[in-house]
Amino acid sequence: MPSQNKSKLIRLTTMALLVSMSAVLSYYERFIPVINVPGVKLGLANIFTLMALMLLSWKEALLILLARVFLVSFFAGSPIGLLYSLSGGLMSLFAMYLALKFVPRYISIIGVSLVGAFFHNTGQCMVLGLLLGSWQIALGYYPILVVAALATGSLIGYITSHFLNHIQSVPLGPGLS
Amino acid sequence: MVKKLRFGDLLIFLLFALIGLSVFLFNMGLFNSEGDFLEVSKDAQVIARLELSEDQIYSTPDGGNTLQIKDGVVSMIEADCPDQLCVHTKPLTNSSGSIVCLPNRVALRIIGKDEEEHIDAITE
Repeated sequence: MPSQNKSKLIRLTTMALLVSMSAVLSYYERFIPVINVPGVKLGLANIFTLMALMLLSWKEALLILLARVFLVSFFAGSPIGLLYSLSGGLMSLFAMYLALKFVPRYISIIGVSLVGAFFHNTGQCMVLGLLLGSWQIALGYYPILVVAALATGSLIGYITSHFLNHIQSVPLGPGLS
Repeated sequence: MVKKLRFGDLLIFLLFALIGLSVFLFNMGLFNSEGDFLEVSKDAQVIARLELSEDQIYSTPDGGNTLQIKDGVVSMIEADCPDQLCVHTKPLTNSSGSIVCLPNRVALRIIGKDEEEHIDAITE
């Protein structure tokens, strides 16, 4: 097989793996109780969005994110849930991409993850404000969401850094950085 | 890139914490006015304004949510949504806070007299 095809194949397979793993975690994390505040969750799926950003490119990370959000919403969500996941996910991916592009020297993967979690919750809060038509209520939730983002962002960043460290000691073949 | 914590991580953490804290302080200023009315809204429209001094049970027109006012304390007693988060939310007293049912887009919040007059002034 020509090496270019092989590298394409490996990228595709990696993407498929990331989609399936993130979809499964995204679904099952709702059974892990965190705190009783709507919108607060661990964000385990973000591990794979982050990995996609590091291993592949932002375009592929975007595809993986969209595939995961739509899959999980179709199987186990509501249209409103889709709106929240989409707004949060897109904001988060965009912010993490910018963080990786502009300040990669000054932050580690934990910083990128923090940025992602923060903007994920910010995006959701904005949609909440729009849907309820009340900025006061949305702002009332915001501090809790920020504190949650700090906690989950650090945790997810920590997990991802270990994950990536491990993966980098495994030969992945051509096509992956 | 993957390895250990960097200076920027700490900076980001502090920056976000600061943003959260300032919004929290802003909210304190926003919500500290005591109110005697409960505003019920659905899909960004105010559908009812209830007096806290009156014990009552109110259901939204579609029957999706039922709330109770008893001795000035507001609680959601029934909701047809799967997560039931609004039912488990801490009951509202006359000082602050809100109860939100995300799946039904129903929001309850306490408002004061001025706010009601303010809204009336707009509709006139």
